Amino acid sequence: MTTLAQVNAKLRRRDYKNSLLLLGCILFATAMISAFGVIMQSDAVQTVLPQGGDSRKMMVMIFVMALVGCGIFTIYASSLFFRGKSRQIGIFMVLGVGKGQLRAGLFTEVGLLAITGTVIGFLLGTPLAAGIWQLFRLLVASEEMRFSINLTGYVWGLGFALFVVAMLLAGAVRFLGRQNIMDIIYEQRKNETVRGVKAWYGWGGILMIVVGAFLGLYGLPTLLRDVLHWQPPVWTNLIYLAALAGLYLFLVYVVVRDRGGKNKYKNIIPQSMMKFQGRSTVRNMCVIALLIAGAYFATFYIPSILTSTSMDAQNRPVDFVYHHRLDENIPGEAEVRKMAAEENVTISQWDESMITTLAIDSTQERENDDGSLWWEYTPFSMEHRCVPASEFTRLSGKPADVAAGTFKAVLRYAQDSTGADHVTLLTNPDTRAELPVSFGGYLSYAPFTEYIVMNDNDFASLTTGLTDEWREKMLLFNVADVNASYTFAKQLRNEIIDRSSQAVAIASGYDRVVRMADMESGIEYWGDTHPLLQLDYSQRDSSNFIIRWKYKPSFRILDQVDAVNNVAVFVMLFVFIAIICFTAVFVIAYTRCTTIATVNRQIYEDLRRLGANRAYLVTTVKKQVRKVISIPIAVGSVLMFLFYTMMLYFNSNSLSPSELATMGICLGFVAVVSGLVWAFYRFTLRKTCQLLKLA
Amino acid sequence: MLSVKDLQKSYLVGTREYPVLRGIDFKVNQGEFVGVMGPSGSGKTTLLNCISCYIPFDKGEITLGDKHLSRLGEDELAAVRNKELGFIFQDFMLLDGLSVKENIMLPRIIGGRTGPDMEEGADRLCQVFGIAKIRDKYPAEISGGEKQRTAVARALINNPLVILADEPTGNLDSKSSKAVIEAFLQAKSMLDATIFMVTHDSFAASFCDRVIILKDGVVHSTVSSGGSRASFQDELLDAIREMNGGDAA
Repeated sequence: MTTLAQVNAKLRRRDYKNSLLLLGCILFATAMISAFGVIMQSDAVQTVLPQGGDSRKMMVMIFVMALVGCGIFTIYASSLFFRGKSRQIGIFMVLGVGKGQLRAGLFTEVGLLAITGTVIGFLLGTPLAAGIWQLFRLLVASEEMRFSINLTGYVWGLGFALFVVAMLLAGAVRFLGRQNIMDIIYEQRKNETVRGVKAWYGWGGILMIVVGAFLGLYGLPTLLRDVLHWQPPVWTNLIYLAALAGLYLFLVYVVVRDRGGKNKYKNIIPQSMMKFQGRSTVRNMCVIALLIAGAYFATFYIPSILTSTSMDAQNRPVDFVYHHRLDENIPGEAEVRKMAAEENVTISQWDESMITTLAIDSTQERENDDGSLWWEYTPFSMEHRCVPASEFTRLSGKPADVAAGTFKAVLRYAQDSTGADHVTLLTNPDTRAELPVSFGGYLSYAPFTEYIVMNDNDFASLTTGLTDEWREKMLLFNVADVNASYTFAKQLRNEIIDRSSQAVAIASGYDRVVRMADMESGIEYWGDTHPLLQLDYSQRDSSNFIIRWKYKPSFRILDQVDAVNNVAVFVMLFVFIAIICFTAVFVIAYTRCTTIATVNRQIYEDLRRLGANRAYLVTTVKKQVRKVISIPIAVGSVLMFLFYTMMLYFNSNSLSPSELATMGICLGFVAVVSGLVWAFYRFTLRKTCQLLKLA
Repeated sequence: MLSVKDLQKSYLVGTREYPVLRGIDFKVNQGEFVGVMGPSGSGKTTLLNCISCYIPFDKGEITLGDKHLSRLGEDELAAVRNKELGFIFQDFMLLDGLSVKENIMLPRIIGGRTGPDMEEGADRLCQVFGIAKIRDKYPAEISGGEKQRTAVARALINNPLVILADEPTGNLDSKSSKAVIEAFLQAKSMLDATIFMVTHDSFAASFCDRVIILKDGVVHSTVSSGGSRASFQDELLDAIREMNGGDAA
């Protein structure tokens, strides 16, 4: 051994664990981001989540969370690496190694780790994405779940890899830029006490979390929008920083604050050890709490979609409901009975009803260039399906009692208001005849969800002269054995789609009244060209088509059996982000706990010399490991559960049965994860004790 | 050999400045074994760190041989640390991943002087300090005294102008402490080494030719050895007692 490079190589071999930890973290983070990028840019995801749609925005938001999580995680791993290197670098400097020589050695090592980790991680991204994808295909038999790779998918992985390499090299430059050699040598022993922790940090932190979350979710948007008439700008989300600051204060209080009382000396050893590493411990605990909250946010979304779909389907009074414009050639009763007979399905009850689409008025919020809001009344505003009261009563068996000049609105399952409550004017879109109306109350009957129920005479007079384009037929039937009707239901659905004309290849958001108004004003209607509202019959089996078609049939058996398939892509994306967040939580918590061992090794040695027995020492380790793992995970879990409950509540200012069921499932999931966390805690405790030779 | 003139150094804590060295002057001659004693907070370690150029100082002049350390650039300072200074710390500062012999050879490897005499030199130092049998062992496998003797050998491999030692016996039992002091004396007599040692230990200091006593960042007094080691230790204890206003240190 005659060169510094050889010395460095030997030291690397002997202290491979430090490098291995960083390499593993880089590899994991890059592989996750690369895989997510590949999945996100795949044809299936791009088709299912339309450009500009809320689902696409949510996916991007979650991806940003994953990026931040993986970024924080890698930065933390690199800080541990540099800390581990500090003593060696410091001794080299003491012995006269010049900055140039150090730079060459450190850059070579960091560069090798960064490039090896990112290249392998990047290469693993695609097989990982394909593997996860295939795993979902085993569970979900969705047609659209075909794995495909687009080159744009690699941009994210590549970008993240470049970020990691740049971040590590910048870390190396910063590390070598320091002048005080003693600071470098004793970096590992650096005291990171957070001073001046006040007694109010505990309750104050909780208060800030609650107030920050409430103001961000409800208070501030409501104040700005309803009281000050301002469109809440993006920066109002900064109010969530109050919740973040509250989280920090609360964790500082838990980790650093000395306890009074007669037992104040009982935990003096673990308390003081955590206190002296307070800053980095609290930072890590904050990241763990945020990541666990992110993981739960992603997983809670899944039961949220599935429960509402499933309960909605379960509570329908009719097995099969579909409707079509009168100018469309869609199978009627005779054809449907023939198809059913061929599939040995017995139709036990059949009904039909005529419904119409009329224009309603609305008062809509508009935004000035400066962000202030004003309200604009539009008499001919948007289309709405209407049905006469007698038809409602005949089909539902419920009395409607709609007086002349009034209307009633049909509620969606488990909701207590609709968008039609404020309607004051109905217009015939063909003749432009108008009828002033007032809201007369609510009705409920699933096939007419969100319809307007009109007085019979009003309906007859206002719909006079309406062309078939605005008239629809609704067909409703029950079958003897709904569970045996899946194949028939699928065939009928396909037949309805195949026989529909191009004029109705539109999503539910497509509004013909808006289109008429736009065209009369000489404006091109955006829905005629935008992929968000234009659907393609060749994609009839895609969840995008199934969920969003304006004339989608409501077949109970299909909605129940295909519920998971229809949201398969969502489920996969959300499960994937949850995997990333949970893994990052476990890796960060594990490394933090093992840091307890590496930083306090000498203190444990001294305690042994002072006569502390093994049981006492293990207890001190246990108290620290428990705190690092349980507190942020408990805080993150509770906060996200409450935040999600608040979100569901403020959607409609109440919790529907499906939302309550969702919360129950979420709670069950939290219990399962908590069990896994306990197993992880036991494993980490054993490893930390082993590092301190206490096992 | 080593000259310190009006050395001043302060630490900034928050917005408040705390002076630690408030104008220190002394000289150390070739082959001299000089100790620095003083109560905690008197500036001993800061003085050593300034001489070693581990930390920058505010004012004054440190001259090593014919070099003014404050006027040297980063690379020149690194060369001084490598070729002209040898370091010994209380907590040894050995690299755990290198064997005893490799730790000793490290300053030569860093300096690029890895000729055939490097291994011979390391072996000779191992013999001199009684660590030949453990030369292939790693720091985790040897005792504190052996670690410190390894550090002494490492400090001497480049035949430096001055060895700077910071509490070299602070972590050792009396037997190991004696072995380390003997290593210094051997280095002085056999290799004509100049040694500058910061210590709390009056026994270790009693082997010095001269001891500088610091108080509140200034040189309080200098005590030179004249008679036996035991009487010099008594003189040191008296000087410390006198500095403390009659209380023993």
